[in-house]
Amino acid sequence: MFSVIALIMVIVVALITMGIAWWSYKRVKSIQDFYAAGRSVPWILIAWALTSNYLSAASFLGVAGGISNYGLDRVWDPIGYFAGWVLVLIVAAEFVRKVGKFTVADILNERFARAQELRALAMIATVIISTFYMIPQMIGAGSLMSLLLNWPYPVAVVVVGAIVVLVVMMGGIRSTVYSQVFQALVLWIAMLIIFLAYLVAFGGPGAILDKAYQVPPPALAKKYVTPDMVKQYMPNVNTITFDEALQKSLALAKVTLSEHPNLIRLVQPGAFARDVWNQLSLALGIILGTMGLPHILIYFYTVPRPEDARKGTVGAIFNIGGFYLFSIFVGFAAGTVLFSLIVGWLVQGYTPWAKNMPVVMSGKLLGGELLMGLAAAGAFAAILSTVGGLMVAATNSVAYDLYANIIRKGKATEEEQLFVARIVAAIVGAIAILGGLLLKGFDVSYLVVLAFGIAASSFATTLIMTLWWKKFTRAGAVASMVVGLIVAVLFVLLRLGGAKALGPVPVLVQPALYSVPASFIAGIVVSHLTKDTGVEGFLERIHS
Amino acid sequence: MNDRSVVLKLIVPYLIVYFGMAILFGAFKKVAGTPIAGGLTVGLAYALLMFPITWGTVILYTYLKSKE
Repeated sequence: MFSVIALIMVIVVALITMGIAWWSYKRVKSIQDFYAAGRSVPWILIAWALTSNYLSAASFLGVAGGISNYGLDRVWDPIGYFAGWVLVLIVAAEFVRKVGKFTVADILNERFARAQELRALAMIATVIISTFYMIPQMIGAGSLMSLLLNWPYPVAVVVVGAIVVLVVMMGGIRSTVYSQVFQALVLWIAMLIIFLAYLVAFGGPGAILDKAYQVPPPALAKKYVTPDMVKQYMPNVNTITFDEALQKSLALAKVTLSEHPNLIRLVQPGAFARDVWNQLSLALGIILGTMGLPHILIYFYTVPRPEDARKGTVGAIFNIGGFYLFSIFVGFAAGTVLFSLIVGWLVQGYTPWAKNMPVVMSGKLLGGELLMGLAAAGAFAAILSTVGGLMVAATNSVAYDLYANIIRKGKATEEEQLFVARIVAAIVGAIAILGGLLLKGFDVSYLVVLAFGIAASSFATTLIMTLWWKKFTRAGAVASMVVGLIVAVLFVLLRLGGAKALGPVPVLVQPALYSVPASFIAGIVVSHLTKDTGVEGFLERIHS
Repeated sequence: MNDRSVVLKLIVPYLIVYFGMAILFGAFKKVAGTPIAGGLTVGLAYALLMFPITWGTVILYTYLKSKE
């Protein structure tokens, strides 16, 4: 499905990103510029940077793609990822800005002065979370660019990795933030236009849902559709039009439902069913995990004042919510109008196309190659922005926590720190590229679930107690992080190994239901047994 | 209003609504799939309501902080 216009738009996104990075590079004069953008980013820009930092290709293509394949069950995902931001706002944002300096470890060190063991633990957690989050993004980048633009997989991985490494090396978080603002606008506007085009084509949101009630989820319907039916009803992707696609989809749905009247509809749950414990564990992991993601938390250091961190988060919540709301309707609309195409792809074995291409095909259907190109550019922008944020978080933590504080014990000069930070950025980027190349074909999307699980049960739990509980102790902080980390990793390894249960305890889709309480309990019990509650007046200062 | 009372007044009800949706989708699928009007089902209506509820919570929090 090669498109010259899509390729041009992707190249334009890449060139503007590099241009912004070069502009930022000229303004990096100190280590504070590299690690915290000089604490001078206006809140409105940080709102957009946080938006694209959070919205990866999994959000841009995967949310609407998932809904168009599985229906209502997958609406849960955007709601969970959106709701997590309420905790970021109320529990963390401005308080993190009040106490931290460059990394998550700084928050712990502000309360428990010179706690090097906590800094080391926080650095390890940051690197694990960022790496586990980043490698699936790189694999996704390779696969998606192969699908969207016919690029060979290794070329796509190296191109994405090289662009992000250059951006981070040039200006650290400063160049990353400013390029993310541009990337956010591209992906947000692309989704808005596709949403509006669907509203016009269908005749309003109610009409989209009415039609969605007339088709079953393609992921279920594929079992009952024969190759002959695919031949009869599947539209040609090169000449596809909205009217033809809708007519063929509704006709195929009618035939399928007449033979299998008990099939659920796209707006009903049951195609991607989770039981209540799995659903609750996922809900807990996402809502706490979001506030424990280091690549989100460190962005609060880039604004001048704590209230700017709050305003930036509020802006991000409106942007992210709007984006997910558009995506839900785009998902239902695409699942309806592209029903026969998605079922056809599933029956023919083109599962990655069925899951990832509905947004791009929607663009083609509604606005020809131009809108399809914008959708491809949006996906590319989403990949670049999230990989950029993750690379910055890992770079800052290794260069600042490990090198400048633990190895050099705070004696490194600014020039030395800048040099080391750029080397670290190159190494982190090389690891991400290598991971993307070596793990091609592996389904490592589960690593993102692990990243959320670890973030929820190490950083989120420990940060909540650090920022809100007076009796929390230094040993309690170590215990909550270590126990949360171990339990989360243990249950994820069991899941990856195919284990159904650990004794009487079932292994769930997300470890949070066990690891979060374990982390809290460890922190509370150890705090009651020990006495070092950290710097006097810490809580009074941040909540004043 | 201090930070702790803000958290209690806003976060607790929000979490109840949030986990309520998780329970609806996990344990009461038939209820979630019941049509209300046209193509709108109970589960989808709940999901769509989460957007104004979330934005409303955020606006209320911002208002309470601005009064400090």
